[in-house]
Amino acid sequence: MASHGISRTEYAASRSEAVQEKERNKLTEYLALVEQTQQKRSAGDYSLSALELTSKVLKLNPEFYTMWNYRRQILLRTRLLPFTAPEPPKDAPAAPEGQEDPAAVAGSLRAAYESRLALLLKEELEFLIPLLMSFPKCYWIWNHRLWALQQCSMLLSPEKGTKFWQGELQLVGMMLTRDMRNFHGWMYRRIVVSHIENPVGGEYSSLAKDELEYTRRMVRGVGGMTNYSAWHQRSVLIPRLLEENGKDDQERMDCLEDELQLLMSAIETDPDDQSLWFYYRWLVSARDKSSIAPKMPHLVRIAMVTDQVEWLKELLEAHPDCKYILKALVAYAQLLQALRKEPLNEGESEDDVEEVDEPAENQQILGWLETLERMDPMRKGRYRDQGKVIRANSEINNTIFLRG
Amino acid sequence: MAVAALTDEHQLYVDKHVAYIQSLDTKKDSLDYWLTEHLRLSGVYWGLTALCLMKHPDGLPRDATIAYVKSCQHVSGGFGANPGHDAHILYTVSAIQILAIEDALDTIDRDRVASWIAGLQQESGVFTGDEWGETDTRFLYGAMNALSLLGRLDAIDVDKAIDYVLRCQNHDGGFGMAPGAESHAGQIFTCVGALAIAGRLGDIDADLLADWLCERQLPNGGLNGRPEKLEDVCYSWWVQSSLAMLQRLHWIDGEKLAKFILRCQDEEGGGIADRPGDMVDVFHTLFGVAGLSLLGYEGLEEVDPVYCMPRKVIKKIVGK
Ligand SMILES: [Zn+2]
Repeated sequence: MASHGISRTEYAASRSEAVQEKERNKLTEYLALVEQTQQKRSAGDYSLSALELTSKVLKLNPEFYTMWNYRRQILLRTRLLPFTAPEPPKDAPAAPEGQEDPAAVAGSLRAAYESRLALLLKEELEFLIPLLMSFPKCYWIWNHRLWALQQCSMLLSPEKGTKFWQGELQLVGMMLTRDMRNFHGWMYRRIVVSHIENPVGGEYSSLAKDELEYTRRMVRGVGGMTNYSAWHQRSVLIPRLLEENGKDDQERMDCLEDELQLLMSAIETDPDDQSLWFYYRWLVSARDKSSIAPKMPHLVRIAMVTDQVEWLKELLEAHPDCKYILKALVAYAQLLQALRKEPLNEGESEDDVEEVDEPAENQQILGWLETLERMDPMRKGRYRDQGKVIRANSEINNTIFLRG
Repeated sequence: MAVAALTDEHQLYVDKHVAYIQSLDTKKDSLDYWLTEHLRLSGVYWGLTALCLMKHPDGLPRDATIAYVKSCQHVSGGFGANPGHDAHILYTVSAIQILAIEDALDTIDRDRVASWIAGLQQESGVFTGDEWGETDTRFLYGAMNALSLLGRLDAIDVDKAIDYVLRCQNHDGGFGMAPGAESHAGQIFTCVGALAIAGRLGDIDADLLADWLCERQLPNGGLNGRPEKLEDVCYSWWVQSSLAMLQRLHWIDGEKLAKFILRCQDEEGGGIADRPGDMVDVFHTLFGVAGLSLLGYEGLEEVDPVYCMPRKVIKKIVGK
């Protein structure tokens, strides 16, 4: 009912009588199986044989979310019951010589419970692996896996529970190697990492550094530069890491400089890769509190953006047909104009702000926008809107000038 | 930006698509029919809306449709995908949308549905899909969509919901399924839709987001859902409806997009696919037709970009 990427002609060619016959048999089997399972469900049957039936249905159709719900209801009543310590008999006399003390008995029962439960949880997680491999974009499977892991956290000791979460990093690493843009995979990775960082009953310990290193390996790998998912992840991790490590303003500016260098060399390699340009835009123009160096002194910022504009102009000479360079030039030339009009930081001198001929600059920007319209006609409406704003603003300025 | 004067090769095969949608419920001997049972109620919403947009509002039998929707409702107030399927926000939204289109919201207990939905809101402002706790901005949008149709937005904390949406915004102006998650056209549609329903579109930088969105259009006219991905009719809808909500639909080439959608039709069997030459389904059929409607394609009923329902239904119920 919602299919992707299945060719009509290939499908039609595959519909031989034999295939259809096979499908009819499969349908009969599937319907019988679903009916049997649904009957047990409406009868309130939460037995292990019902669990087995849900396994069969879900292997055939992992999108059947009600079956996942039923499966969890069964698990909670059978395999995943919480530990209950045996009640010591009231007025029990102290354990006589040679007999075990009740606390020790309870302790070993608890240990036995945990070992057994760990095995059952492992079994549940293993059931999901082939399903994830075949249906990596099915929400319900990822969802059930997270639920099972949450049970690990709730039912097992903190160390054992955390081990389960740590094991997930390998799985998700493999899934992302198979498809480095699978957003379920990335989402899952963020959740797993956050559970490892915040163990139940334990202290927070950040994995931001390791995760940042992971994205660095990703973007440096083959085809990695175009990995928008990895660049996105960097934009989340870098500010967090700087915050956690209490980095000062100078260290933050150094970090921004390093990241800019990384991007500039990537862009020089492939200026037509739009993934790079979105991330680059964030580096150059973000100034909010979740940016890398929000407190950069005003004059330093003006110098940085000026350098970028100069670099872009040089880059344009080498790649005159690259629209992303022109788009960036338009954006940062305007950013510079805005920055020059903002108040300076204390101790900075007006004399250090370069005088510019803004009307001439605007003419240049309008020229770039006209080139963009020709180069990228699908988005001409966007460029025209930008041009209109510039013309309207300079008209207002002219009016003020004339009146003044 | 009316898309008219299209040649023969660029026409919408309305009769074929209507017949295709009407035939869907007669395929009970196919495996695919049963393997998609978990989507049935949404399937009815997709089919019915597509029919309405193609000016065949009576294309499905009204009484039987309403009775079917009601047969999916649980005592709790929520709706499942089909009788015998658990309640979930996704199907509850579809149920309310169908009943709104059929002008039959008075046949259910609105308060019970509203309180079931309201019960899914979490402390953070987001919504779970059901009692099992999965959260997603899709569910948050669904809750606001359904509650606004029921006239019961007051049942939830809208400000908290919007705070959560804003926490999902990324450096590129887009939105993900949770805070920190990568921008994705489908999630952007839900977040921008939630902001639109709450009247809070002014809280975001429309130019920044619309720049990311308009870069989704590829040389073949279709739109992708994330950078470096393939074009797809459903993503095209999510991108273009978001642009429409931001008043910047003219930032992409509508005529090229319309031609792309028309190339995705099955001219013989009816229906629209994700890409030219692929298998059709009712989901892409709706988003293809809705996309054409948003582009002003001749002869179609106007679609509402926030709800993906006929504009006149929304005007009547929501009043804006
Ligand atoms: Zn699609």
